[in-house]
Amino acid sequence: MNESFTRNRQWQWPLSSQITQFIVRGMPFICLAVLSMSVLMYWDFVATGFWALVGILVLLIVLLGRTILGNLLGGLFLSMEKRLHTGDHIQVGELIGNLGAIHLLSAELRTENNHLCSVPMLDFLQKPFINFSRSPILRLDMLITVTRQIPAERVLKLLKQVAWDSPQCLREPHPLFLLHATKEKVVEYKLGLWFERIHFPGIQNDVCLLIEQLSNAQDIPIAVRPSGLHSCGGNYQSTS
Amino acid sequence: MSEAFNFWKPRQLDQGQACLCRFGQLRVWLRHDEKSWEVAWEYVTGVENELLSFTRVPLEVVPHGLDWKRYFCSGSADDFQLRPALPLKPVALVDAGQPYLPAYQTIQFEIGIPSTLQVVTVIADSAQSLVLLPSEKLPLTWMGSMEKGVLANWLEVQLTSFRPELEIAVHKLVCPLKLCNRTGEVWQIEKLELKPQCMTLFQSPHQLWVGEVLIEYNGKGRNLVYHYSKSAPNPAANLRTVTFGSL
Repeated sequence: MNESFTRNRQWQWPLSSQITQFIVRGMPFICLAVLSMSVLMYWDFVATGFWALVGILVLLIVLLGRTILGNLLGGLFLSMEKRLHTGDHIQVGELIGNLGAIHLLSAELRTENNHLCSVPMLDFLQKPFINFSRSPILRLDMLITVTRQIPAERVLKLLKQVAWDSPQCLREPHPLFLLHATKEKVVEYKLGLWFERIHFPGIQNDVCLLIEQLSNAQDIPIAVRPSGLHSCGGNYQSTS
Repeated sequence: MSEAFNFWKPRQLDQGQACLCRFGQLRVWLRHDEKSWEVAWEYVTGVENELLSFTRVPLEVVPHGLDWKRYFCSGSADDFQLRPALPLKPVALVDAGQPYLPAYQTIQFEIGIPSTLQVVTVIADSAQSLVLLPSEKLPLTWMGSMEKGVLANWLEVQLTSFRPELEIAVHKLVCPLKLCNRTGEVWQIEKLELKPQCMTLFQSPHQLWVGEVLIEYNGKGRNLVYHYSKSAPNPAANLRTVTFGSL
């Protein structure tokens, strides 16, 4: 008895959640079209009704522009490719946050400031889009600004020590130590540390504190600024 | 009867008592209250590697500021046991000396892999696992491709044929490692990946062991082939497989 109960509970809906959501969201539109058609057919204006409906649809497309159609196709494309899942931590353009509900034409994004933003589906295709949840490891980039008087060897040595001493930093992929830009009075270095995704965003504080601690100990005045987050492995990134 | 052997035996800790278990760099504090156990742990670097001890301590001696984890127990378990276990993550072995193995050569080493300490409470014949703690904090690394890789512990070792320090590192698993170059080319040994889930754990009166791992090199661009032996390694005598009742 219990076994059959367990088996019944294990039955799964054959379609993916994305396709299901797309069908559910698109159902009102399909029903509306069928209803309009039926009403016109009821009045014996089958041919007239059909062409009238086509005319209305064309008018809607022209009036509402290509945006809606683009969003619709974008949503369909994203659903078929399974790029989005509710709860994913993503970046679309300038917006970074957790993905909420996925609608037919847009998706809800809750930012770190707790703002609920509606992102059109077309933005996922046209703007830089990164899904951090698909990557188990991430790279945190930081810009380190140092006065020109400090020799580069000393700074690079310090940055290597930061990477070595940080408990969350992965040995491989290797951390990045780059001389990023040389300006009139300062030199900018880029430090890129790979870490496990679960440590974000706390690792940013840990690394900044470690840099401060080591730079104070070695008497190297340093300014630190996080400059980006990168991911790898199953990451979807598209740029316009 | 050696100290190492006694360390793994079931012990009793009455309610309102505390104890300290030292296992290499790992310090585990246990407190037993009514229907609950509290566990706290810390890693102390730069101390004796061979440390393996169990001490009952008054509650007043337990340091403040420990991060206690509380585990509720349905029964009235007063017994607990410390059990050795295999590492929780794969291990990436790296020798900074960039060793090479000439064509058709085979060489054997013994390396020490930090083991895992499992704390279980014991009621009659059943046991409940509370926590699994690596005996040493190792840096992490990403192993494999970006899409299908895994997180692993980064272990730097020196591949030498004799390791006298292993005889006293009681918290480490002694792993006999056999490297075999099956090709006519020189093998530059870069990084070796050991999977603990394929290993078998053994116990001698003094130390913990795992079965021999044979790694075959079959040419550049081809994957290394790993063989994990389930039988007790030859050099050590009086080894027995570590088995406990199901948890």
